[in-house]
Amino acid sequence: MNAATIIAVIALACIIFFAARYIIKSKQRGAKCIGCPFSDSGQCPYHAAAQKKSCCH
Amino acid sequence: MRIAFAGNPNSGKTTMYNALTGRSEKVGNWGGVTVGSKEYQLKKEFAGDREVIAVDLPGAYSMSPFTPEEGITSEYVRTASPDAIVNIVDATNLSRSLFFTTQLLELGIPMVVALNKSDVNAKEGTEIDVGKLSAKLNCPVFKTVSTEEKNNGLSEMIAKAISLCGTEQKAPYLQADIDLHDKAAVDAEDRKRYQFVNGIVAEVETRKVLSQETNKEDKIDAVLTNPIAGILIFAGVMWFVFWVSQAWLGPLVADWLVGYIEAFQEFVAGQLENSPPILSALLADGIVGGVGAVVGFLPLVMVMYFLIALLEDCGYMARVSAVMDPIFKRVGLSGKSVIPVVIGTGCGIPAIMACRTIRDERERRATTMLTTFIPCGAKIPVIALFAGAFFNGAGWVSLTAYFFGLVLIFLGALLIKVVTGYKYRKSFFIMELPKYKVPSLKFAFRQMMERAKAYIVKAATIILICNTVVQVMQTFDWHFQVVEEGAENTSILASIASPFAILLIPLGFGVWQLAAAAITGFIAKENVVGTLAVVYGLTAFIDVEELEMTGGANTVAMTMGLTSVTALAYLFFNLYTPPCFAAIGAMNSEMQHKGWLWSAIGLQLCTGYTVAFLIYQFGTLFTEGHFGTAFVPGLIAIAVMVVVIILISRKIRASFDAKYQLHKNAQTNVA
Amino acid sequence: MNSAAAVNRMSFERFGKMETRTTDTSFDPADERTLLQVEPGTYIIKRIDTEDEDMNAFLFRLGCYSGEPITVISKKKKACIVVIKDGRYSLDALLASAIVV
Repeated sequence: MNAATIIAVIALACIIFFAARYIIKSKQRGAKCIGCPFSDSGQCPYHAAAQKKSCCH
Repeated sequence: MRIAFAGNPNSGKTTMYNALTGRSEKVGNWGGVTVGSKEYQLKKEFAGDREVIAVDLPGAYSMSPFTPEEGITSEYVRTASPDAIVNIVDATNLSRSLFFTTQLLELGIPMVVALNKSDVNAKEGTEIDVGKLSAKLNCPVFKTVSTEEKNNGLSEMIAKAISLCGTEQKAPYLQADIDLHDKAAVDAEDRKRYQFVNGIVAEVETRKVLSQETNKEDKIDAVLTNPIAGILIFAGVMWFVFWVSQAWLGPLVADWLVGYIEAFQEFVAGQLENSPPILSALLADGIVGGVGAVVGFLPLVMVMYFLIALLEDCGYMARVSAVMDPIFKRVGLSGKSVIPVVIGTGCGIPAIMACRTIRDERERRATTMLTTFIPCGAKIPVIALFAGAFFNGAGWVSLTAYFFGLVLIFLGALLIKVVTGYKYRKSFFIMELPKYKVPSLKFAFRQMMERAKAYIVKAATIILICNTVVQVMQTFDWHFQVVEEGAENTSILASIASPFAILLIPLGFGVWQLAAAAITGFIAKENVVGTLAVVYGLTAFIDVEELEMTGGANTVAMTMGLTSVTALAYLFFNLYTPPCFAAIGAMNSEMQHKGWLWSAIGLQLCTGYTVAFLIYQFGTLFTEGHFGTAFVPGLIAIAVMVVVIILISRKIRASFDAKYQLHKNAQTNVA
Repeated sequence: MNSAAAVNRMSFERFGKMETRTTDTSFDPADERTLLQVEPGTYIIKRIDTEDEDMNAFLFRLGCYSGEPITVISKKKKACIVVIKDGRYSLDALLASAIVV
């Protein structure tokens, strides 16, 4: 086990961890698709309906 | 504190909202772009120390909810009780805008009128007496130009709106108490209201240029809406957009980017030379290579988004919608269907949502089903990959993909029309043609960056995870032993994908690797590229030295074992099958009817399959003089599809006739 | 005055004209023409025959109703561009044929 391997394993673990965490958190927040440019705006009722703080009433 | 922003479609509402909140909401120069309401906080420079939330409502012509957009506005204003309203009025069309204004004033919520597009008025010599208008409406009126950075009247207007919160305002015109169900009474009242508005306008507005006179823009419109020239021009414009983004500027920047990605990957691989090969495979090939392959195509997506944003902003798209209407009508759609199709070049989900503006139910459902045939942004990497690897990066591949998508939309619409057998349909088409405006480069740039950010986020999360999973699945077999070189068929991935691969044999690509890639494409279309990169252990698909996408081409071609014909078949298969799950979810929520949803998925599956089949079989016939493998089984599969379609069609027509039959019986009885 | 009379005429003539309208409008006794048949220019709308409540209401909100002027800017076989209250709109042939001037 050399230094490169250790670093690589740690890096791999981190990358996957953060990626997975981001996805899970977004789903919990109610976002329908990850990395959609419209997920935050008013143009897509699909996202608006999904988010808790959505439109009217 | 809540301030609602309401006004006619195309009045510049969303542009003003963006300016006040610092957001970058999409502005389209056609009505129906904002289909939901959105809340956001005002920028500090406008709100001061207070927390002021601005609500951008979709454009509405009046309070009576006849379209979904107006319903949202109407409902919000009535139920959510905002503290103040900013009514954005298109100063160039006062006579129409004030109708809604007077209705809003009746609500009893303090209101400020923003006379937007005042710069256009100044240019045309139209003068509006602000003081008089304010007196007549009994509310403050400000001139604004939401497209300007400074001196746009926004600060004064917002300051006044904030100060009015909690105060009372008297309405200048009150609708008489009438029975809202009595159509004639409502009609009469509306006319009275318009008379009131007409009176105000006559006293307040002086025009140098009358709208009824033809102007320079009309001459341009005459050409752009000419049935022949207009469509050719549109084709040319779209050709230009695709060429710049996919064949020239896009790849140019992409090559530069990929150079770095490739270098980084080699670095990582080098570092891990002495580590277990699986680590190298996961990190260097799967993550850096796989995700890198996808990110490498980002410039193509960005350039395209930029150009389309420019097109939408200048007002050209409304003309396109008008000129395409007669053609779309022939296949049972209408010009309104153009909007989702153009939005679909970016992402299929807002395109599906945009179908809400189509009033006719069958038309709306048909458009929803067909709009994903236009390649979305996520499919660009797939197109670019295959164009580069198998066709020398030729521009015609990408262009064909888009235009063929359009052809499929037409054919699909025709099919739906025949299957559902609707003969009598009265569908009207009316589209407002806004004044041309110079597209905002800044806005297009921001749109592009938003898209880029989202793309990278998607790549770094979904695609990364998918690639990792695929890499793991292909490295191990079911006993969690590392698979030997040359025995990849025993891996988990292979065993899952192989059954599907059998179905794909008549299409020319019945290998498990390609089947696996196509399946992962349902999670995100970019995964096709990512998975292929992982599964074939390929690194970069764009060669840096030759500054074309041909460098790794031969390697790619050889490794995948595809010919040009089968590559094209595979590409089109992935483009025209059902979209990613997220888009299918959007279709589901739009259709609200399982029957239509499954019809949509079925139609898309059949289309992808049939197109790939035809290309492969007849392509092989053309290039090699004989049909490809499994010609007959494939033919049988397609025959089965045709039979199913005919059966469904019979059923639909029968139920339709049954409805008609009832009426016929009733008539004969009475007579 | 004009609008009241127009409203009355509207409800009466609609039923009377139902049969003749679909056959040949050139025999129209009142010499009415639809937007599809006129040359570019400004006209006063006599009535709107879309037979679709929602469409009628929508047109009304744009300022397109009987008694109001409408200007035809350009005309083609399948579509025309009109001006209603300072706004430009593209109408298809079906809608244009429903506006009688």
